[in-house]
Amino acid sequence: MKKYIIGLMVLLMVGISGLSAISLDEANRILATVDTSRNFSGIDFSAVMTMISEDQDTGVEKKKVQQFRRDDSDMFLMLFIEPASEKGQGYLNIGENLWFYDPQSRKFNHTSMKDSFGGTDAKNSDFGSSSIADDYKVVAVKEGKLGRYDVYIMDLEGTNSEVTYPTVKIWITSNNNLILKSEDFSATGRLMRTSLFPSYANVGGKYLATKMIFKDELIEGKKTQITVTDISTKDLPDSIFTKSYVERVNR
Amino acid sequence: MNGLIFKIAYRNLKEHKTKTLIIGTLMALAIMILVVGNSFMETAASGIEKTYIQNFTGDLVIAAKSMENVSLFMDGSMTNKEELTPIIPSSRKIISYLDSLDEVIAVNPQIGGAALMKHGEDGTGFVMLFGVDPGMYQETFRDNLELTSGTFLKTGEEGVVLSVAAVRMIKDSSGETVKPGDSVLLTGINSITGTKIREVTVRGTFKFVNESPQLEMISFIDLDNIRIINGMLAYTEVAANLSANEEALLGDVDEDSLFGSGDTGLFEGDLLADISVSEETGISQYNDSDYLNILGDTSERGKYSQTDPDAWHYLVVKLDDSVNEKKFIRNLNDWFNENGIDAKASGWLAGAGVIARMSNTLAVVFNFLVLIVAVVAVIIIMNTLVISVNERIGEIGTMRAIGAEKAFIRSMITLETIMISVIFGIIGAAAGMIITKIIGSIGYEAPNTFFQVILGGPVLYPVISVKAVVLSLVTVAFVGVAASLYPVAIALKISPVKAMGEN
Repeated sequence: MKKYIIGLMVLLMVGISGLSAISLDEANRILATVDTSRNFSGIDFSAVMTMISEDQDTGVEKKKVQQFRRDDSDMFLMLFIEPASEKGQGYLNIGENLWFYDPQSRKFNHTSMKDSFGGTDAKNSDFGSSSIADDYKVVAVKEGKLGRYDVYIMDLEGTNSEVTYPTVKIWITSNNNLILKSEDFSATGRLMRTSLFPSYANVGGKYLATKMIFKDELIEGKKTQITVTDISTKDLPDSIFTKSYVERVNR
Repeated sequence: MNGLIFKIAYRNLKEHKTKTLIIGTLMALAIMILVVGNSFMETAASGIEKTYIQNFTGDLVIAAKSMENVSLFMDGSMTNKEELTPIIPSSRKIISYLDSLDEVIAVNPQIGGAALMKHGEDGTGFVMLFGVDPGMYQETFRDNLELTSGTFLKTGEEGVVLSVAAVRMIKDSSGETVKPGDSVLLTGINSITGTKIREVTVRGTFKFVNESPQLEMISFIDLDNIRIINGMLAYTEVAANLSANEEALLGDVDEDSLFGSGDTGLFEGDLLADISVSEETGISQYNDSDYLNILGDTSERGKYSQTDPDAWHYLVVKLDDSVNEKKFIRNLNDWFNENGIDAKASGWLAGAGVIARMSNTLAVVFNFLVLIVAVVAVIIIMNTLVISVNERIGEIGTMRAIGAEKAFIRSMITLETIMISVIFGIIGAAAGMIITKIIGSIGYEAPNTFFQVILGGPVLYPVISVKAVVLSLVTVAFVGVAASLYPVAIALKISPVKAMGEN
């Protein structure tokens, strides 16, 4: 009987230690490495994103977007190249400013990082440089599994009001710190969106999610999958990240 | 016999002055509250009905059958970024049919919408938009607007006529006043049709003649601009062409299929792939001029910006005053069914939305409160009468002993109650009418926006409601009779011998 009790206590202690294998400080350091490994520091980045949105009311829609990023200067440009009706629309981000361009009226207007990207389930904040360590702090962490991957499951709380979702739960692989899954919650704790990142690419030592799935948790069946292709790290002309380029490309 | 009962009843009331006054005052107060309250509610309801029918909803509103909430604004889907307001099917056929009916005075096709507004560098605001054909709108709603500057929209002219509330929003955010001839940027955001920006000329500013905080939010815009903002276009994209991999991720995707359990999974072994960036294809080979041709052929784009001239959200219909609206709506819905048109006609209240309905609900709540007051009054009056009957046990017993029948006693007590009800009911009704008349002449100013919405305007001038007066008198008579039932039952149980013995 004594043996059983000791055995049970050992199991319990192992279990408890398993729940909090790393401290909050360590978890926050992991978040910082996520940013470092996802940001293309010192180089420009471009790629084509294919976005497929599903909605029970509107069916399936496909969009193609040319993405240009210069993370060091916190700039990005996303230009719609498909479908024909949206060709030339663009999101230009320079520092704190994000503009949307409508080629039909040839006008720019400020928009928010929290808004939906081109009517998909992605948000404008899902693109551009990563600042998860600045925007969130870890409030709880435990170890677990997601599919066949060992992960840290972290509860994050926003550190400022600019974040798209006030609280987020993320699943990060414990061996190479890749975010596999994210659950995004409203201020009232309601699950708004689930994001899944089942495929990554190592691009010159940086990790890039090449497949993303965003599920709207408020509307059943509403989902967007994004595939990233045509990746390049070639230096881009400075003129790309200007309003004038967006206007000229639409002439 | 009747004269005798009347005399005895009158004598009893006179002898028990205090109790008579207590019961009477209660009844008079109840009647007064009923008359004043119902006059207020009726004036407000008819004011709201008048305001909405004349300014905004017409007598009936036609919308697509799939539209759950027919409200022309605020609580409808036009402010919802995740939904599209459905378009009325066969709108041309419906308008042509309505034009052929003698009962129909005017039809106003309309499009709802909402947009963020920008004026200059700092002026911002939010506008609810009614896209209208200026000629048809003004034929349906004559003289309901008061222009504060500029002109109303003209047929075929692009532009926006801003409400005073929209002008105020810009003034508050930038300190600048919008003038006719200025431009505003209107940005419509909808997750389904995407973001659309329009630069629109301000043609004028206005306010509704019958103001209300709800109507203040509305501005008018030309049809082309509102259709582009809402994505009501003539052509839609062809169906998306998907690869096998893209098809595989459609529908419900569970985490096991993505991340594998064991060695299976859609991306098994591929979570992290080393990608060697090709410097020989695509962007890698671009020179500066290639970046300017990144969009390729844009000739088809113009096609997808053409608006659909038959796309409408609502048809607002004005009927001749002599027409029975309910019957007309019923017949029209039958016609839709017979012709296989997925549209529905609803009364003005459905089009007026949640705030007008709230006013109606408040009237119901008020009447419910009145019912509670009536029940309490019945209990108090009944209690007082029971005490009065108990005090008169000897007298009633003696009357029974000298030949008064049960019917005589019942009539006597009931008559006492009715006399109190009638006399004090008339006093209460008169007091209620005087109070209503006084408030009606000076006006009741709504203390806040909520009351403005409920009362249908900033100041309410209540009018005495004959219906309320009659209804109140009937209610109080009923209360009187109901309150006398139990005391009568007690009086009838009194044994003459026992009563005289006690005496």
